[in-house]
Amino acid sequence: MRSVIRAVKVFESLSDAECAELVRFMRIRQYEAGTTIFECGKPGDSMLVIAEGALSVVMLGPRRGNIEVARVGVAEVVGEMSCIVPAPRCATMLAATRTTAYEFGRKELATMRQQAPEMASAVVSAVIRSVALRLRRVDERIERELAGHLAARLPEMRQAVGFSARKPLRRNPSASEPTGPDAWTALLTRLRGNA
Amino acid sequence: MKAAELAALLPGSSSGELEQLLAATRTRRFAAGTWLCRDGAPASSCFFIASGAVEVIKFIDGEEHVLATLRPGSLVGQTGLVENSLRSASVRAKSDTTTLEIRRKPFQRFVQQGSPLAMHFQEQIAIAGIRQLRTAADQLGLVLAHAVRPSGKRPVTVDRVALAFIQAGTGEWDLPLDRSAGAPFSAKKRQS
Repeated sequence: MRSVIRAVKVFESLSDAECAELVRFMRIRQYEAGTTIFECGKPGDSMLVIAEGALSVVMLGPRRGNIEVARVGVAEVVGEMSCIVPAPRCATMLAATRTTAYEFGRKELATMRQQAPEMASAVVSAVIRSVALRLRRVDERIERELAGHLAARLPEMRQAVGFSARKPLRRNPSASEPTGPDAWTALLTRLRGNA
Repeated sequence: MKAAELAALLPGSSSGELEQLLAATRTRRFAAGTWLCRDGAPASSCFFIASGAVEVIKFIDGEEHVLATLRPGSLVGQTGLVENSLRSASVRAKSDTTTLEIRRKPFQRFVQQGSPLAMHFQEQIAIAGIRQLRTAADQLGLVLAHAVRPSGKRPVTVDRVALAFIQAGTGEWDLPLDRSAGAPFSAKKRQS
């Protein structure tokens, strides 16, 4: 089990000793094939590390019907952000086969803060780090896509300024939030200015 | 910067905790119009805005775009706490501004002390990062929605379901939905 935790990318910043310590706070979960583990939109406050088996991640497709969008295999993690900040699950997850997973939730994090505060801060740091790395990857992709498509598609994008969305795409448009490298917003701002 | 001045921004924290925070950070003042950091520069710290206001700025084709204005109680540049990162935007003082600069190493020691304030700070940094990731993933989804669509005259419509689907295609499906805002530093509430 320890070697599973060691192989988890999110925890790569933890030492071997910290990985071993983390295991102490986790709960073992077993699921039969086909069991629904998380449901889209239901409250979530824990992460799962897959030790054996696999999860199937399904989403409602744009034209109805569930579509598998990802498989989560051994030493992969889902929901690592929810154990720090509880939030509704983003997708429905089923056990694709008989699956064993280790669960670490907000409750375990609170216990860890009491019993091993250094460890708790190391776990939260690991999640912060993994979010930052994902952010960097997404930002790079945005820049690449914009660079590739911007020149060719400027007239189309100019029209896109008036795009409609059934639900607001930016749910937290509060001006007091850091929005980071916001090339898309900046592009829209510029296009609006030219229109 | 004194602990008493910080107490208003971080209510519920003991003076001991605030002293620890001050010991782990450096007070830096910026006159209106000066830069806290520049896009593309190596980053090794983030800033807690204690007074004044700052603007997050991105230059595109030499043109300046203000992405956000941040007020006391906000954090900016938190990816600087992750090793080998570069600033992804520039930050400029909008008015005379006092910040606590949080550098990576001392901040690690501060959070390892395990005080409630340290935990709270760490949590806020995580929340800021998650929000930023969510916004970026939305932007990427929009960019791709335009990229995959054949040229046409109709304006593009992208709903939440389609966007989530496009995001899943980029591997960014595991983003908790947005009810995660949590309680921001209460200074924000007082201002609104």
